[in-house]
Amino acid sequence: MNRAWRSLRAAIITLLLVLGFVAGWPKIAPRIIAGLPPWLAQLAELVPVVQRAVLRPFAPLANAFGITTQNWTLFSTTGGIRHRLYVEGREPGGSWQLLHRAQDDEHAYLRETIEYRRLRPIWNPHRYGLAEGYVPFTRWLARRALLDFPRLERVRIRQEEIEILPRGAGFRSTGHFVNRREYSRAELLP
Amino acid sequence: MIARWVDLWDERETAESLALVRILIALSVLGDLLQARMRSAVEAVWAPPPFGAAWGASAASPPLLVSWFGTGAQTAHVAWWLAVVATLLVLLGLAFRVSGWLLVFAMVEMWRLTPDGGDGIDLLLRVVLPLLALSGANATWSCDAWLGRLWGKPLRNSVPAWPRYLLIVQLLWLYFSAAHHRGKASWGPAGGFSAVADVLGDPHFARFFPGSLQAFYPLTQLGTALTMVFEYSAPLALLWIWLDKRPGRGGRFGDWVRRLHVRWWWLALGVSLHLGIAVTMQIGMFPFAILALYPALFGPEEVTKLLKRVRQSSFVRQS
Repeated sequence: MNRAWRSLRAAIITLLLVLGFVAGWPKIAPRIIAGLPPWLAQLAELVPVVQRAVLRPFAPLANAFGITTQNWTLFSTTGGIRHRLYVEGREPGGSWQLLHRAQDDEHAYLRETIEYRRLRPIWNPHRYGLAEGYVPFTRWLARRALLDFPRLERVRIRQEEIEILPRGAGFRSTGHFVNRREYSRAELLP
Repeated sequence: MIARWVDLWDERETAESLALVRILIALSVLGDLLQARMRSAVEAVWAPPPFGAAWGASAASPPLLVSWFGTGAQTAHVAWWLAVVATLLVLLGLAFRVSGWLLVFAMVEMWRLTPDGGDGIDLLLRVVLPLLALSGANATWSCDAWLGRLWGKPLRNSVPAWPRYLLIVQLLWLYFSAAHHRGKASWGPAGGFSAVADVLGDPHFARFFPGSLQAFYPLTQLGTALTMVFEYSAPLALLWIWLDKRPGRGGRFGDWVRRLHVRWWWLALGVSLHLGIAVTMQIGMFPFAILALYPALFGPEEVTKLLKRVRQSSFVRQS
């Protein structure tokens, strides 16, 4: 094979490795930076600036392949306060009925669909909060429930904050709900 | 030094390792896509609102599939069928030069439709599939190779090794990156190595009802500790691979690594951790798609030898 081509290929691969390495520089949380000596904190604050500057020219190519990062945050936050999804419906003049709750065999409406791995990251809050797709997801879910249960007038989707118990003992309900979305039949099925 | 670096990326080998990665990755993706269909999740994931949660359809520059097929529920089914057909062709190694890129296109379009759908494994696939598409993973165990023989085309005795080398680097970086992002105390001794037990207590991830595996808490602590050891030591796997590939190198340390089969122990730990995840957590294709990359960690001659051994042992059992 042509020597120039071999060298070019090695250069392209080297560039890919360097870009991958830079894209993989860890995000340093502000609370960690706050605890560093001033000179190190300044250096840490420079990391994302340099990272962005190096990667910017190649961003269109990375975007074409959907390669958004080389930071692999797999189960980086565990324990503490987590969430449990609730889907509820209400008939005219009635009270809220539980249709779906995570890990609840008696209220398992659409469990297989909701728990599909590509949907879960949309509704399960992660370290940076809720996914952008959460509202479209809740609108889809509420619309689907209204179609499946013609007597329902309203559907709400919310998440209970739960506390993970120590030593593998499971979790404890807190009774505190967040990320609540509520829809009426008139709104979704005019 | 530069000449050796250029030579490294110019190395060639037979295609068994890459072919096995191709087959296993395709099986993992196919299994996941079939799951989407069986769970009635195709429209939920990939149809634009209000038919599904694919909010990417309304982006300033929408996915090509939306431009071509509109914002109805049918776009989700087109995306799904496109991915299934491309995956089947990749699995069979049929028209791989085209089907490999078709699968890349399908995966990117699916991501554009639902940018926050899926998890780390989808991102990993968007890195890995272009590398596979550029490789000679269809040079063996494929319809392309079979048809080539049938039509009297000259056999490809070797393919470039660099795609496999890059797959190795990507896999090891994923592990190392995952390890150094785990800043929570629960992943270390200060938190009592409780991280795995914590995940099993989360109703959104646990396969069994949270708390039902409490009796195995010490085992989950061991799992947490071993996960961190395994992932932090991932860069060393390059050294283990190099020492195994070059007997006689590395002096007494190299001899020690080879004699104790350090690489094999590291790999066995990885396999067992992923199988543990698959059994106890509901996270879909992640452990299987990661394990599908493991053949890249073996040279083609090792893959051939391993498969031969498996065939012989099953033949012996049958007879």
